Amino acid sequence: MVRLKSRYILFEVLYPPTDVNVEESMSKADILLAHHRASPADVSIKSIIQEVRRSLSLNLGDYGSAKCSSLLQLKYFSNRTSTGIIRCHREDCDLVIMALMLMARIGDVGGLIVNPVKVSGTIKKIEQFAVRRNSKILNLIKSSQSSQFSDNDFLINDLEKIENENENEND
Amino acid sequence: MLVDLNVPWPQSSYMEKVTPQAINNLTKTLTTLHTLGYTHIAINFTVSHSEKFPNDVKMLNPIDIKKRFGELMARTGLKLYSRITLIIDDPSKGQSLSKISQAFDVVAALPISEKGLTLSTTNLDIDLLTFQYGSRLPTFLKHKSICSCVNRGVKLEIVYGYALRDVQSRRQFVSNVRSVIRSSRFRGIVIGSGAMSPLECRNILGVTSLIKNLGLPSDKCSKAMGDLASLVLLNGRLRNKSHKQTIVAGGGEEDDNDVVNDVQGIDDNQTVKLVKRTMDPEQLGHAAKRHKP
Repeated sequence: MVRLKSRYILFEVLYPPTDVNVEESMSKADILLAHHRASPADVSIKSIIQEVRRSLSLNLGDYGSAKCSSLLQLKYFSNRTSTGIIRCHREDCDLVIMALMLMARIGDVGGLIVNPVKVSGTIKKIEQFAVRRNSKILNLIKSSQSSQFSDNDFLINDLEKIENENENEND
Repeated sequence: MLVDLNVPWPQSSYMEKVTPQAINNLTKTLTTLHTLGYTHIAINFTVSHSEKFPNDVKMLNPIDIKKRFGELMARTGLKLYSRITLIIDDPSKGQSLSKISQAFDVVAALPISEKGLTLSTTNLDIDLLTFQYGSRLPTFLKHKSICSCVNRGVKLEIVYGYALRDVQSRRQFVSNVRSVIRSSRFRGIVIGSGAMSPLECRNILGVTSLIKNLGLPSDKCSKAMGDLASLVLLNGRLRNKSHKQTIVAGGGEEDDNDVVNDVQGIDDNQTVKLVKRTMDPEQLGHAAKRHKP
């Protein structure tokens, strides 16, 4: 008996600064901070999955969108860290990443890049990767600024919660 | 390392003035690309081949990377290069490339007519061949002309920025990319962004899956933004600063003889280093086969 094979895609929503003037003296941490911002409340699990489906049907037509939508699921999204995890079928993983890449807005919120970061076969590994990646970025920022951030603890707590939920489901 | 060979410079001829706002927009694009993990970026100045070029070599390159982006480079560790793209329409009106290529790191050709395509695939001394992916290709691309061009060492460029604009240009992009991939038999393809604004930048994972869906094998996709693209940068630098593309004097750290991934660049003022290029059959393609004893 062959198990259902799926892939998990870790993505983040970046908000490139479009209105403010960029100073020449921006440091690495400033650039990172300018791009990684908290998402507004309009960007929710519902609006994202709607937008992914819209992008799929716009770019791939009825055939492509129907093919992908069998297992398409947004497992996690946090407005505070603007990171999320999408589950899809193993064969259609590329099409979903393509749809994510071609998205220019989510609902009514424009001026963003949906940036697929990593693809993995299990949700556990992708959570570990997300935590590692976030702490790496935080270290970069912290090393140049003394202020404290608690976003990573926030993400770790969140991810532990869904992990527990998943285990409950499996039981 | 991740290379983007095409970030447009906000100027389409030597006559135009550059506004500070446009420079600011370009800087934003560069910082966004940096956030997405790019390390080597070429700024692309597109100009018509029949345009009157200034006589002074120093005036040829309007980009002036050191003065405008020196601080950005130092702070972020980005490496910036200058690139010129010549729009080739009527070959009889054009002029010699030898002087132009001295002022830029990479020289590319963008044919918009059949004659222009013939000229740029056969005679011109260029590093890159690119097309206007938003509109129809000048002519049907033939295996013979494109493959002979690739064997000469010229790379073909795909610009994915067109896929993110309007519906019409995306449609045209897909059909053009498919014909470029078909005519080149998957060889010598590099990918650039052509991002006019920070919102048109995408990371390697997304671009790879897009181009993979258009028919390029996935191993070639990841090479197209890394190894092959850095080879273009290397070729361009070696054209001006080496003896017969094999030996270069000047630049870099002392014990670092990897020119492709060189972070310092080839600079006349730094410690002298001698680098001999190895004959890697993968990179040289057909040329290596011919040289086998």
